[in-house]
Parts: sequence; structure tokens; C-alpha cells
Amino acid sequence: MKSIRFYLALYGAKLFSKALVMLHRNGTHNPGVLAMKICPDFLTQMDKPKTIIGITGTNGKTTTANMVNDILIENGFDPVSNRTGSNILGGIATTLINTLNWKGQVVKDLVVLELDERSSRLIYPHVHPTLLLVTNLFRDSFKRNAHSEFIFDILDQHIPASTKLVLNGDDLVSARLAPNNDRVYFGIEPLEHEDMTSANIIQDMPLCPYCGAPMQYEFRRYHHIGRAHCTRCDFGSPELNYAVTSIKDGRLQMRIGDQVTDLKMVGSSHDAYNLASAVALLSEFGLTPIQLRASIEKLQILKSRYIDQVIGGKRVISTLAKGQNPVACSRVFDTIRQTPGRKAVVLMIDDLGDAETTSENIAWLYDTDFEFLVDDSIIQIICSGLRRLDHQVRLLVGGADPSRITCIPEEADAVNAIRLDDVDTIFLLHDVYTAYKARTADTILRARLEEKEEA
Amino acid sequence: MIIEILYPEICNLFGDIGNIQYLQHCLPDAEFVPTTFGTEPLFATETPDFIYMGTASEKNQEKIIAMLSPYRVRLKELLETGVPMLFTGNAGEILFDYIENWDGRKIPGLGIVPFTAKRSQYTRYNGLTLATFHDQFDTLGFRSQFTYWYGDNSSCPFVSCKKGIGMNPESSLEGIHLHNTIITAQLGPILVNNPKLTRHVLDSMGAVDAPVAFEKEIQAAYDVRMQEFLNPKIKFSI
Repeated sequence: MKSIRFYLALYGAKLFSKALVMLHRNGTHNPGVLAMKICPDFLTQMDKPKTIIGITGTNGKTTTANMVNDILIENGFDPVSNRTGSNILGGIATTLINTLNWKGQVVKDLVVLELDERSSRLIYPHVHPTLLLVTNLFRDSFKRNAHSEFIFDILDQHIPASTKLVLNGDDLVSARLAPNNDRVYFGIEPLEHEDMTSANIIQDMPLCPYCGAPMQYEFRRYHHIGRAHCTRCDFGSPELNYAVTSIKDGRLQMRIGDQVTDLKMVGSSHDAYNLASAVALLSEFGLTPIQLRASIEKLQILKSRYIDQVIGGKRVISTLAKGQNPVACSRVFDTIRQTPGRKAVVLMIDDLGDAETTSENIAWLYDTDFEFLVDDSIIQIICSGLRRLDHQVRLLVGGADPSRITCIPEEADAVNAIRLDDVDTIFLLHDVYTAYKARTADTILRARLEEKEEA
Repeated sequence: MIIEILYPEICNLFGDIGNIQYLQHCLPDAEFVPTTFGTEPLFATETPDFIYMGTASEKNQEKIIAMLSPYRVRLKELLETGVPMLFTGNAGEILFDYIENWDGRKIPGLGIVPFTAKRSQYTRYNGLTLATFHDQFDTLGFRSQFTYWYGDNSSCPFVSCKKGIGMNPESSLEGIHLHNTIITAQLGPILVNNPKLTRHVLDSMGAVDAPVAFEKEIQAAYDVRMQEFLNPKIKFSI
């Protein structure tokens, strides 16, 4: 029996949501907040959809959640999701309200929720995912997430006992979550020609979390991702239920149960874990390898995150390098290093949110592998934005040749400093907040390249 | 010249290793000795010219206290005889009398300096610090911490804050400076961010002729940040 306050909250949230839509405002967070203000136990009282799929973790959850939604829709499902909105409590409440009619009855039986990992303690007491995918746990913004052990503890203490987990078996931090829960593991086996001696600065599983002895890595793909075992006790990487066995020529081979399925590689190479995690999650949901393969052929990565184009004979790659996220940036830097040809890199990775109100804590730069940009094939690095001098210092500390570094105050102007004749590929790296600046820079660069081609 | 880095594989949470990378440019001929967890510290049998330790997770703090307990007297002796040391972030808390956990549990520290820390469960203080080092020069720093520190540091502060909090919200004196040991809650690459502090630290270890590496570039970055920190509109508690 639901309270009168519950219905007042439901009507209020639904009306508020409609008003926001009419005003062309983003209504993905505040209706849920309003509902919980009117009825503090709104989420507890509300009926939930039959199947709740949750996707959380440090990196890759947005990309993966988008893949999962697209594949489900392609296979005839009609999931309600928060793909365009907030992944914290207000957004989750708003999304769940969208599964109810005006009488408070559930009219949608499937919801896909991207869940902010730090908000777990507020969400999971009320929302019990049927399946929960944890992509990985890494260091992220110090300000928001402190460190990976802190986030691990929050998740570990709050994941509901009934939830089946889909975990990254190559990530010894998140693989240990909620050990009593039912679970499967996905991962990527050592690949042909893969460098398996990671040289990252940070590695968050150097010691066994149970006995404190050093961990022995059979291989480290990057940071603490790889396969390892404790040198003293029996702690170690789990067996994989879903394993990528090869990535070659834009195709990915993945072992699903007893069979190996050939899949299109979606996005860049560092999206392989995202794709593998989506396949594992949706297999557990019940899709067959045939269904997955057909849907994945049609998948695209969100254009705002990764654009790879050829303009005037030069390859221009605009990609998200999430600011204050050392692992995300290091992964991008590593990809740049491994891309063939001569390259220029434009850094537009300021946290504009911080710039508006405070001064960005630049400590994260020293957890980030700027050393990967110190490579003979990277002939020019242009640091732009407010933090350009900090990026310059970081590169110098990392061993960069000063003659290869240029500092330009405005992001849009930075592309004018690229020596086009000297490079084959240009990387425009932007934060979530500076994506619009990257678009402007891209437009200016395009004009330069086209003009040069015509000349 | 020998520089010992204590447990760098776990004491590195907030860009702390940047201090060591940077010192390697200032002191290219020095020997940098990482002491890994589970091994005997170099300082147990030798006297390094400088000892550094960075931020660890709360669970690892407890393991480190246990690991260093047998060397407590030796570490205290080195501190009192003026061996330069730098502890950033929560590293210095291991030297305290105790750390009080959010649930009231008291975790005994090494008891080398008479201070305590009180830890919260979810609430963290994130902020900035604009301070002066013994009226000699200004320092700029960043904070991100679960703890506040308590004790009387009026005779031995690391810095006096002009903006931002000290050891706790009621204090304007941040950190501890005893003999040549600096214990600060400011995290990460504090030496990279503060060229004059780097000069002081190099001098304290006897490297008076060593250059402050990339001095022009780090001074320029410092000057930009100082202008931001002086802006009355920016928030010091985030």
C-alpha cells in the first residue's frame, strides 16, 4: 500500500518532467529529486521493473551503457534508460519514474541504468539490479572519488545480495567485489604481439589485499589490468567466462560459453573491454551469440567521444581524454604513441568546471603517463588552455624535448600552431567540458587543411 | 647523495611520485632508493640524505605503521638529528600518536610526533592552501583528505595559511616542521608546484649547488596559479 505522499510525489515529478520538456530543458535529474523531497522513501515504495540492468565502474560505463541500450533496441526490446541524463540518485529516480504510469503501475519491464559508482550507498538500498556490470575500478578524480579502494569499499558494502555480477576478471580490484554474490567474469586473453610489460606510473594492486604479500603478474596490460596471483596466499585472477581471444583487422574473436564468436570491433582498440563487457552482460541477460553478432555489426561509438577522419590528406583524430582521470588519459596517450606515422598532439584537457569556481588540482598530472608522449614519432605537443604551463612542466619532468612543446593560451588557436607539413596524424584531446572547444579547433583545422590541399 | 623513498608502490595515491621524478632532475647524480613494502628500510642501517613518503590508502596506512614499528626509535633519532624528510598527504599521520577512525576505533601510530588525526567515513575536505613558509616565501598547495589533524603546532608549523585551513578548520597553521622534517597534508607534487620550497629542501639536504630543475617553467606555472589563488572569487574549500 503506497502512501498519499507517494502519489503526490509521482504526480509532481511527472508534471515537472513534462514542463521541463516543454521548456526544452534537461529533465533527467530534477523530477526525481523533487519526488524524493515530497516523499523521502519514494524509491522504496515504488514498484520496480522486472529486470534492472546496472552498469557502473570508473571508466567505460557511458560507452558500454550506450552499446547495451543499442543492442537491446536492435533485438526488439524497449528499455527505459538514463543514457541522456544523470547517473546519480536524482537521475536514477527520474528514470525509474519513467517506467511507471500515472497510477504508479510499472508499464516497462526493462530498465538500463548507468550508475555513478560513488553514489552506490544512496542507490542500492532502494534499487536492486538484477544484473550489475562493473567495468573496472581505477583512480579517478581525487576530489570526487578519493582512491579506488575507497570506491571499492562503498560498492562492496552496498551491492545487494540478490544481484548477479558481471565483473572484469582482468581487474583484480573490482573482481573481488561482493564475494558471496553470483558472478561471471569477462576479460581479454594475452593477444598476439601484445606488449605485456606495462610501464604505467600507477598500479593499484601491487600487494595482495588479503595477506599483504607482493602480487606476481603473469602479464600487465596496463595499470593493474592483467593477470596476477599472490606470492603467498591463494588470491589471484579468476577464470574468465567470457574471453576475447584475438583482435585483428577490425574484428574481435570472443569465447562465449563453448563457442568462439566473430564480432565487429567497435570504436578504437581501447574500447575492446567495453565491447567485451557488453557482450558478457547481454549474454547473461539471455541474448544469443548470433543476436549479439548481428547487432554489433550496426553499432557506432558516440561521435562526441571519438572522431577519426581524413582531411586534406591528414588523419585527424578528436578524442575524449577525460581530465582529472589519470588512467583514461594514459590510455589515450598510449594509443597515440602506438599510432603509426609522425604525430602532433593538441592538449585541451582543462577542467572548465573547476576553472569557473576554483583552481584545478593538478596532482593528477603526475599519476598520468605523459611519458608516453615522449616518443620520437610525436614531433609536436601543443599545450593549450589555462593549465598549459602545468602540462608543459609535466612533459618536461617526463623527459620531453622542450623544442617539441608549444604553449598557446586559447584552445581554438592551438591548431594554428601545428606544423602541418611535418605530421601525418593530428590528435585533438579534449575533456568532457572542453568538447565544444575541440569542435571549434576542429573547424579551424579543417579549414587550414582544406586550404592547404587546394593550394 | 642518497634519497630513500618509502614504499613508493603503495604511497603514491595523489601524484606524489611527481616529487621524486622532479628531484631526479634536480639531483641527476643522486642515488634514489625505493624501499618496497616488506623489506627493511635503508634508514635502518644507513643515514640517507633525504627520506620521502607519499599518500597511502587508509588500509595501507595501518599496514605501514605495523611495518615501521620495529624502526620507530631509529626513525625518531633521524628526525631529531636533522635528517631531511618530507611526508605529503596522509603519510605523516603514521608518525602521530594515533589516528581515530570514523567509528571511534583508535589506530596507534608510531608516536614520533605528538599529534593525532581524526578520520571521517565519507566526508572529505577538498581545498586549496595559500600560505607562507616562516615569513620567507609563499607556498601554494592542494588538499584532499579524510582526516583533520589535532595537536599544538604553534611552535612548529610547516606553513601559516593566508587562505585555506590549517591542520583543521579551526587552525590557520598547516603541517609540522620539526628539525628538517616537513609533514604536510598538502598532497601531490608540492615540490614541482613550489620552486622556493624545492630550493629550501635541496639546501636542507646539503645540495646547495643543485639547480631547481626547469626553474623558469615551474616559476611561470607558479605565478599563474598564484594569480588564481589571489582571486577573491575562487573557492578554497571545494
